[in-house]
Amino acid sequence: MDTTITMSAFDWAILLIYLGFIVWIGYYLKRFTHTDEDYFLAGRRNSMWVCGIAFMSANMGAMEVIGYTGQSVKYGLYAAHFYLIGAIPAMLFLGVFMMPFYYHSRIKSIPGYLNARFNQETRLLNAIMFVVNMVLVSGIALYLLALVLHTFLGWNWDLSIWLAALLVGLYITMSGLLSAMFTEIIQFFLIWASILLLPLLGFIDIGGPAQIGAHLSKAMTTLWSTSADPGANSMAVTWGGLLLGLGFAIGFGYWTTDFLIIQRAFSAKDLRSARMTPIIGSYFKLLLGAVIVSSGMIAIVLINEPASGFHLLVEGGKTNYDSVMPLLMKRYFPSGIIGIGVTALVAMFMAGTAGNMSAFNTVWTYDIYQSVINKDASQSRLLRVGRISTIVGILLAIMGAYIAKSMPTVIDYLQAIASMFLAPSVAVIMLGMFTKKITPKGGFWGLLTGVVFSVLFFVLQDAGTISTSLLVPGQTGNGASFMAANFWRAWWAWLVSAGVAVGVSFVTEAKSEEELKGYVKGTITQHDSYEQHLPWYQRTVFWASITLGICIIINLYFW
Amino acid sequence: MSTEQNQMRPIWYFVGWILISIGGIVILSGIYNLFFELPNTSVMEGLHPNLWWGTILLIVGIIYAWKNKDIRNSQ
Repeated sequence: MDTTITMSAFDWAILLIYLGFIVWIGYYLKRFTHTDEDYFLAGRRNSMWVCGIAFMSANMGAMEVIGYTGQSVKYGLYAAHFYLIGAIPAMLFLGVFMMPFYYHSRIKSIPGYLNARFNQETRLLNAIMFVVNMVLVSGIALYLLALVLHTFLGWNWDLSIWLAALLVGLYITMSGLLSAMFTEIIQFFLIWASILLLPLLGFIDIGGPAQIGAHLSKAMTTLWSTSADPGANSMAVTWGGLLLGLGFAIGFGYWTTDFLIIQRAFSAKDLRSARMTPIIGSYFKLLLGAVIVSSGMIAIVLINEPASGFHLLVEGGKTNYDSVMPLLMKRYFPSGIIGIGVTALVAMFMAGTAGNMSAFNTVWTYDIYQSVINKDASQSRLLRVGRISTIVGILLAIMGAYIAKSMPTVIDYLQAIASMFLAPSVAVIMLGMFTKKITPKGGFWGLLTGVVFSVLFFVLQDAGTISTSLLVPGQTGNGASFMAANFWRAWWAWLVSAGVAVGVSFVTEAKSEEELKGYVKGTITQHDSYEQHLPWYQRTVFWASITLGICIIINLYFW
Repeated sequence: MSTEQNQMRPIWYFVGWILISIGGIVILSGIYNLFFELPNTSVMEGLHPNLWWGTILLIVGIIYAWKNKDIRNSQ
C-alpha cells in the first residue's frame, strides 16, 4: 500500500492560509499585550466559550488525536476509558469543586497556589517538575508531527521539527497566552473540520456501525464486563487499575493540577466562566472520544477485511499504530479535503506545543525567575523574561523531540510521565485544598516522596531490575502489561504522597487560619452562592450533571 | 484597559473568515475535480465530499463572520 499523500495546489493553499494566519494573529495581538497579566493570563477577560474551547484545544494535541486513534486500534473500546473514567469525573470535579479556590485566590499558576497554601519550597519543587514535564511532552508533540510529515508527505524530518517549532515560537513570543488561545480556537475548528468527516465516511464505507460488532470480539467492544480478569481484555488491566490508577491518580492529576490545561480557565473574566471552562470542555471531550474511538474501530474492521487493501505501517517488524489517522485520511479524503487533514495535523501539534510553551513561560517567569532569581522584577522585566523563556522553551522542546525519538511508543511514554509527576501533585493539592490540617512541610515532603517513588519504580521496572507486576495486585512475575504497571504505579505514588503528607503534618506546624484564608475549603464563601442569582439552567452544577449522566449512560450501554 | 485594547476583534470573527476561506477552496477543488483529475483520490469519491463538506464549512464560516462582525470589549 502506498502511504504517500500527494498535495495538490488546493491543499497547499489551505495549509499556507493557516500558517500565514497564525503568524499574522501573533503580530495583530502584540499591540494588545502591554502588561505581564496580558501576556501570561490573556488579560483575564475571556468568556466561558473562549476559555472552554481553548481548554479543550490545548488537550487536542498530536499525541491526543493521532496517538489515541492508534490506541483505539490496539485496545478497541478500552481506549474509550481515557475519555470517560480517565477524564470526565476529574473535569467535572475541577469545575464544580476546585475552580473556586484556584480562581478566587487570583494565583497565576499552580505552583503559585502551592506557595500560597504551603510554602516556597513546595512551589519550587512543583515548578521544576512542571518545566521538565513540559519539555518532554512538547518534545513528543514535535516528534509526532515530524514523523507524520516525514512518513506521509515525505518532508525532511529535521526541517519539519525546526520549522514548526520556530512558527510556534514566533507567535507565542509576540503575544503569549492571548495568541496561544486565539490560535487554539482556530485550530479547534480546523481539527473538527477534519476529524468529524473520518467516522462519517468510514461508517458509510464499512456498511455502518453494526459491522464493528460483527468483526470484533467482546474483549474489544465492551468497557467493563471483561475487566475482572486482565487476561480477558485487550489492555490487560483490571477495573481496580482503571478506577484507581487511570480514573483517580492519572485522570485527576492531569485535569485538576496540570497548569497547561488550567491556565485557560485562569484567563476567564469571572468565576462562573472559569467554572464553566472544564464543563464546556467535557462535552467536547465526550465527542472527541466518540470520533477517535470510532475511527480506530473502523480501521480494525478494514484491517480484518483483506479486500479493503488497508493496513497499518509496519516498521522493523513492529506495527506502527500511530500511522492509522494519516492512513484513514489518505483513504477517505480527496484532494482539497486532504489539505484540511494535513493542516489539522499541523494544527494539532501547534495546539499542543503552544499550550506547553505558554504554560512553561508563565511557570518559569513567576515561579522560578520572580520567586527565586529576581524578587523585585518590574512588570516590563517580567514581560521580557516571559518572551525569552519562550524561545528557550522551544529549543528545549526540540531537544525533547530527539529524546522521544528513542522511545518505543509515544503514548506509553506519556502515561509514564503523567504517573511520575501528576499523581503526587494531585495528592498534595487535594489534601491541601480540602483540609486545613496539612502543614507546609507535609505538603513538601509528600510531593517529593511521591515523585521519587514514581521515578524510582519506573526506572527499575524499565531496566528489568524489579518485576512489572510488583505494584499490580493479583499479578506475578512480569505478567503485568505496560498500561497496568503505569496505572497502578500512579495510584501507589498518590497513596505514598498522601500518606507522607498526612504523617509529616502530624509532627509539624500548620499554617494559621488567617494564612489559609481563600485557599482551603471552609475559608471562602460557599461555591454555589456565586450562582444563586442565576436560573437553574445556567448553573455550573446543572451542566456538569448532564455530562456526568451521559458518561454513566455510555458506560452502562457498553458495559 | 486602554481604548486600543477595547477595539480587538472577537476571535469568532476570525474563525468565520478562516472557515469561509477553507470552505471556498474545498468547493473549488470539488468543482475542479468534476472535470479534471486530482492527485489524492478517495474511496468515497462518488459521494463528492468536497462539494458538500466545503459548503457546510462555508455556511458555518459566513454565520460566524456575520454574527461577530462588531468589535466588542471582551472575548
